[in-house]
Amino acid sequence: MSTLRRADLDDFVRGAMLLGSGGGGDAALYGYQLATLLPETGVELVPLADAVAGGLGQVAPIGMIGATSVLGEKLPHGGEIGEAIAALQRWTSRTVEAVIPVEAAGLNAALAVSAACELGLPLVDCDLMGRALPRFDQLSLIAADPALLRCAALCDPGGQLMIVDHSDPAELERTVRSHVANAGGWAGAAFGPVAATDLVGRVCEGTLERALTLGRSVSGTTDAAASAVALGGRFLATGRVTDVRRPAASGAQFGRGSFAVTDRSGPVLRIEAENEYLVAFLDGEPVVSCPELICVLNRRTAEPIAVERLRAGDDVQVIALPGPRWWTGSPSRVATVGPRAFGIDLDPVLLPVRAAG
Amino acid sequence: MTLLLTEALALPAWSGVRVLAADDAVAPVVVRHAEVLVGPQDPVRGQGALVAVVGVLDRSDWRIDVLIRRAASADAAALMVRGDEPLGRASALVASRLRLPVLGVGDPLAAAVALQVHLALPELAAARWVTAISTALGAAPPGVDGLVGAVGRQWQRPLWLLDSAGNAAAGPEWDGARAAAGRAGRATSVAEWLQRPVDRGAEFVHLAVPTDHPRGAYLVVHRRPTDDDSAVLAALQVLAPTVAGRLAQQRLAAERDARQRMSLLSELLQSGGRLAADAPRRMLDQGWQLDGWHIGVRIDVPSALDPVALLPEIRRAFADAGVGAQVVENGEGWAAWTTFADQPSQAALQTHAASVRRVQWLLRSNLPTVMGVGSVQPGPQGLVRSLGEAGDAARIAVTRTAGGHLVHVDRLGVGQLLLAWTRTDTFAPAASSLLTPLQGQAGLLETLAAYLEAESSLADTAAVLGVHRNTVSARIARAVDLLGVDLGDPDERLALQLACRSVLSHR
Repeated sequence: MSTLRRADLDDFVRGAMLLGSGGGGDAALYGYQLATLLPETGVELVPLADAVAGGLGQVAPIGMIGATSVLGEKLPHGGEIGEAIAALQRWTSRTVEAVIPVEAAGLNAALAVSAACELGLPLVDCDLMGRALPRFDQLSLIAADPALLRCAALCDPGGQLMIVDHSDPAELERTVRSHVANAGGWAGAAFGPVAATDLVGRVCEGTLERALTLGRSVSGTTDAAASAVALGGRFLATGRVTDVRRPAASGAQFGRGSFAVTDRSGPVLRIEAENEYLVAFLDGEPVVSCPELICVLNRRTAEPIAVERLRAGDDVQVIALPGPRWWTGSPSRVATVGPRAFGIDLDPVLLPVRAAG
Repeated sequence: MTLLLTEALALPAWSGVRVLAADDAVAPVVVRHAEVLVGPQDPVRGQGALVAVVGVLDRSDWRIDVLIRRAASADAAALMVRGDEPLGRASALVASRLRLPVLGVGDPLAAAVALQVHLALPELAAARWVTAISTALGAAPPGVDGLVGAVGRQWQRPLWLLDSAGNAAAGPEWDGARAAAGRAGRATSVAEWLQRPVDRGAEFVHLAVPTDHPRGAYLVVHRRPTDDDSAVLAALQVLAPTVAGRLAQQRLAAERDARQRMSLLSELLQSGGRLAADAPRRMLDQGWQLDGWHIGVRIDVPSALDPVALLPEIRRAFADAGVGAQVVENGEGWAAWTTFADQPSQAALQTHAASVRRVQWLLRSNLPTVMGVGSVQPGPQGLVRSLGEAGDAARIAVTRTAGGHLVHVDRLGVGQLLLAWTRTDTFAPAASSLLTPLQGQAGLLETLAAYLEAESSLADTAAVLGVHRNTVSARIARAVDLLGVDLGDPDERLALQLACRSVLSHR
């Protein structure tokens, strides 16, 4: 069992950003909060197997839903997750005994740690995405068994509470998105709760610890290319960002962006992106796609750069890292998070070496 | 056919086409055909194709890159997309890295179709040329001449059949020098020009006809500047076997006729002029006039040559020399004779002798001959006798270099007598010492001998030796100088001529 201590926070935040594959929101926002919130002894990242063996009961997946960029302008009051869990308990008459992040990437990874500290609940080291993904149908629990996740409690920044129940994944997506869009742009959410035993085999395990590992491996002092290879990934390109295309402000939920990274002699790298970096092409040939992670790093500091922060002229290096193993477990799972799930008519291109999960 | 991309861009139908990306540093791009994709995801097949994407293509994201990649991987010549707005920097870079030109135009389908039509034009032209041959075949009169004429009319271009020496066997008036001059006068003769491959854009296009005729056969067409070389050549290739077929037919017919003539001639020779009842009629059918006075001529050639195939050349030479004669294949050569209605005068005989010499001179470059001429004799028996004399004379002429391998039987008696005498052991050393000053002087002895044989005629000597008359006169002057003799003195000249005969016969 590993413990997340204050000294690990920088690595943890960087790792969570790497798992975001350019999306998932800025983990640093909750990272600052964690610096004061985290107890001296740290927070234990409880492996799911240990939790099940210890007889853990109901577990609530928690996370921020909506536009993560709005979060920086409309700051949380801090009690959203707590209120959502309380509402969930009232509505379902079940007691939430532990929390897990909905997605252990980007700000939601940090948020889960922060909420566990605040609420004094155990933090089980598993999540429903294993990386950053944009949609509810891309939750592993829903992909595995939609009946397990039909209830959600949402608390928006104004304090408004909403419970949605008996929804199928599409309805849940529609209802929650339209509510969030009209109620401040984002909301703290708690789902389920789900019995810990039902999580086994239906979640991505160990993602928080992986964030820590990745964050340590890829840091400003290391060679990102070498780290990527060591982690079972590959180096894609280094150079300047050119040809930035962002989606027109059409109001579409997920707009497509396209970036090219070029240097004087190497191949032209193009990255297709929505909320996350999705597919990378070298000279027009797709070389890696979701669910693998595509990470654009500041060449000098190796800090990950999110999709919405990438600018023309940025001096970057780009690496690909293995995505969560759970999603590559079967063809239907790959299809759920592959390029076609994002409207890119390509077969998934996975990394050849998948040493690290 | 193929087209350079730069040529395609010059097509009028391509006026709206813009080059969106190109790598100037690479070798010229060759377009073989056009391939139309409805959507950017359609598979790209064509090597050397202009890949035109008709569907709307978002050119600001991955699709254009992937399309460029796929087209480049399929070895396409170029990619054409809808709209002529410039490509993004990255996509242009990808195209340049993969060395694939990218073109933009408002209507890629129209541009692709225009290119395809342009690429198909030569095949169309070739088809027209070939179809014209088949049309001509339907209407052509029999024989090679008829065929060549009919095809030439269908093509509306002058068409000739030449032999390998460059002489026209069929077709209109032929100016060989002009064809051989070609571009920048590279060929020195028509014969040499025929051996060369056709220059691209040359005024005359030629092709060898596959035939076993000893003189070979070539088809030559005078193309127009707008004609496509390969179409013309393709049409000639189709025509050539047909011409070869007609040549073979013609040859068969010639051999049949030759057999008739030859058997008729041997009938005549064996009968000694006393003919069977129906023979004169059959000979008249051949155009032989047995009455009157005849001079026989025997023409022999090296045995490897084919008398039947070469008969037209002999006939042409006789016609060109102005000698009216019957020519019949006989043994390893030909028997020919000229018939006079009345006994010819001495002047007419002189003219005839000169003309026969001219026949040999006309044939000299293509056909080295040995000729014997008989005396003038009356009637059928006379013809047989004169032909016999001509045969004897020809046998003697084989050794007569000085006479140009032509011996007239009228002069044979004296000649042989003298020759017999000059071969004695007493005369030969004396003759040899008389001519010693000419030893080692190339050609002087031969020229002097020929000059004396030709009655001191510079022109005849020149004809016999095949050199210019000024050369002859210069050599004679030198020989006279070296020998210190006076050719005006009949004694000295006779001694000199006998010495020449003796020395040359001992060689």
